[in-house]
Amino acid sequence: MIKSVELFNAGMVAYFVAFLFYTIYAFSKSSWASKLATGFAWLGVIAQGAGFVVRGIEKAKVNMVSDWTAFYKYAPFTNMYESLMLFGWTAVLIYLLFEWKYKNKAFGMFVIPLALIGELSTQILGFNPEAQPLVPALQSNWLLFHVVTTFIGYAAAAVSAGVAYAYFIKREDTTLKDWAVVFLTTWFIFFFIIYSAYRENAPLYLLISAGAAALFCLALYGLKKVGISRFFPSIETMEQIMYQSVAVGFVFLTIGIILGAVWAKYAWGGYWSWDPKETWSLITWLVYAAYLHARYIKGLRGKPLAYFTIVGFLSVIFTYYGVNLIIPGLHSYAQ
Amino acid sequence: MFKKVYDFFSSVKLAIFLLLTLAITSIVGTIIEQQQDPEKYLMEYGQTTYKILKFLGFTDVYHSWWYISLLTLLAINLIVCSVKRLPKIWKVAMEPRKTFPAGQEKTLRISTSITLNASLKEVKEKLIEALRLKRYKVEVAKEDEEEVHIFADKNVYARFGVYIVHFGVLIVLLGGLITAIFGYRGYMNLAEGTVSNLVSFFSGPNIVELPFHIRCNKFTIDFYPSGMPKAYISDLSVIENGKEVYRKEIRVNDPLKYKGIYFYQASYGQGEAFLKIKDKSGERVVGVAFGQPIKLGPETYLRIVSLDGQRMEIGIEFIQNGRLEEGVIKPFVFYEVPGTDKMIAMVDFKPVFYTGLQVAKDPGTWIVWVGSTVMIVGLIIAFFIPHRRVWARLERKGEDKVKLYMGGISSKGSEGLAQELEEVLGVLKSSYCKNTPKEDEL
Repeated sequence: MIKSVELFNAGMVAYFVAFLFYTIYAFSKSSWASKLATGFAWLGVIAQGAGFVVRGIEKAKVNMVSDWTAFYKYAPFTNMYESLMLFGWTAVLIYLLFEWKYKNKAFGMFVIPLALIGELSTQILGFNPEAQPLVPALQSNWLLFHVVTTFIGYAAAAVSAGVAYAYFIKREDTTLKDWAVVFLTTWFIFFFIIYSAYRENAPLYLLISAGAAALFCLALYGLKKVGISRFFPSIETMEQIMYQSVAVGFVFLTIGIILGAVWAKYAWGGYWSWDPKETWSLITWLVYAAYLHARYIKGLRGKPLAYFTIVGFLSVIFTYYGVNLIIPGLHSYAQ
Repeated sequence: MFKKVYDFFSSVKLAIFLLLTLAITSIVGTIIEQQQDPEKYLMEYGQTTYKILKFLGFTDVYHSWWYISLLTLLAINLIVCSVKRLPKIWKVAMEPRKTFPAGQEKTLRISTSITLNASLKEVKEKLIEALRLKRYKVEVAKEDEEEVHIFADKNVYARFGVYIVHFGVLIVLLGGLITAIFGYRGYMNLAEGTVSNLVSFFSGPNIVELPFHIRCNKFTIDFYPSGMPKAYISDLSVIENGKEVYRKEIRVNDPLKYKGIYFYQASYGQGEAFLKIKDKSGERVVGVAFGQPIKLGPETYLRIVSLDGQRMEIGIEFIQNGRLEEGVIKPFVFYEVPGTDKMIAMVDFKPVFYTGLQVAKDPGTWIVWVGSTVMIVGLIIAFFIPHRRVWARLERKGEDKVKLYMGGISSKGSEGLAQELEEVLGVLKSSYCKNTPKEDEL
């Protein structure tokens, strides 16, 4: 039988081809490139969707499950490899739904590589792709619902941050200070992701991630210079999308945190234990709550809105990567 | 003075400040390990730093006076804000201007007009019907020979979504408070065949006596072929008045619940001590898992915590009247238990596995669940359900000709409303517009 890892890899290849066609489309506006781009993106989503099903069967095997009604308990989202696959898959899927609704394909060339980097990082960072049996703490009815809602929240946050970065390309008055902020935040993000995998030699990885962030900023700057922003929606629409994805993310994060509390009640003996992961999810929630209030009273918009959006995403990244791998706690098994 | 305080607490700026301050200060507790033994902090940070951390409450951030004060301020802020704003929102939501005077349509973002070939009455009824089909609550605001004004709205409750969320947050905070005051979490270690009703807190001398006993009938660990643990299973019985009243196999994620107290499979360990207890009435031998107290008299407990096989020494914790003392005893030697007529000696040891149960009582849980549900419902209403309002004015233009002006506002995104009005207009057009395809957008 075909292995889940092969399907995930096939999906990544499809995403890469889709990314090429999205880029060709962005510059040539040719309709065949546009159709091929969307087609390959969907192909990748379908391949990886099938990958999750196969993965579920593999996990049921290693967990020695015979009861098929309990199948959902062994949802394939329980280690770093699986959860990054889920992250990439959800991000592309959400993007494709946005594309279908708004009939705008300009963001494909940003979102697809973001998902692809997430998924490829499993190989660069050396996460074990084998299907592993579940430790007793993860054998729960709540696993599937908690992880899926949380991940929709994370993916929505990623979309909002992606748009926030694109926003600085779109604006005419992006200053050196704005670029510095873009650089610093991406530096942080890259550093967390890389360092969380090795947990040693911080100065070296600070240097490597600084280089990667610089390249990223240079790429953004290049895109701005070649006039990519022509194909973006208006500034107002971009602000609207940022805010709406944060709102969607906030709702799903809230539900995810609450489902996590319900699970904790049955697994750990209390709905809240101030475990670092719990605390960081609360911090993210508080940051986004402040964001929504600031938008409500001060009409937070423009560059400050984009800054705030990126800060929210930083908090998400730390909740997702940093806490799992850097700070020990009840969630560390997710490694 | 009162006005100043009131204004301070009713500002959303304060809310933003509190939310961000809570976010930033919460980080501290994820960097410094919380609620550890003083020795551990001393080893890691040294005397001076530990004193500073302790003084600032950084060794137990989430229970420190300032963190709780911030939460209290947030709760007050929430309540005062709601009390201040609710009447205004209520007025805006429930008592809108319902008439639609000429020229008003220019102030609305979405508005159209059309001339129809029908009587005022016909158009009025058709329009009301079409709006009702779209689930609007429709009322005639003004009616005379020349003009009819219609007001329609739907999902007016969506205006209160934010308040539902805030109400939910307050309920959750209340649940947390009740947990903090009335709840406890402790542990119980039971070797197979042993019975106890004593729950120890994770640190310190506190011991709770349950009104019933728990017996561990069997403790099993299942393994995967790779050697990784697959399941921890404890077969437990609840014993009340000497009789078994309930029995359940618990595992991680599947606790036992009896009379509001939960027993969770939390850990396991090795070691069961056998103690001989002598008093006036005779002598008996009891088995007890390491870490589990036995009761020797009123407010008097003893725990075996360690065994040093080489030096033949047994580490104990003696708890009397809420004070804990650590000590060392030798096996087979009888010791007098202070304050009682009992003598005690350890006479045997077996390296068997015991099950580690976490025991929790938490009357706040249900309140937190209610608050959470209210919050989720509120969030969905606040973010995804739009409050929509439509005004229409029908003006009679001679015999069997009516000019219709219609417009509306939506609390979230106007595309959906524009679409709805388009469809309502479509119904009217298909009925009364056969000869006059005249339509002028404003």
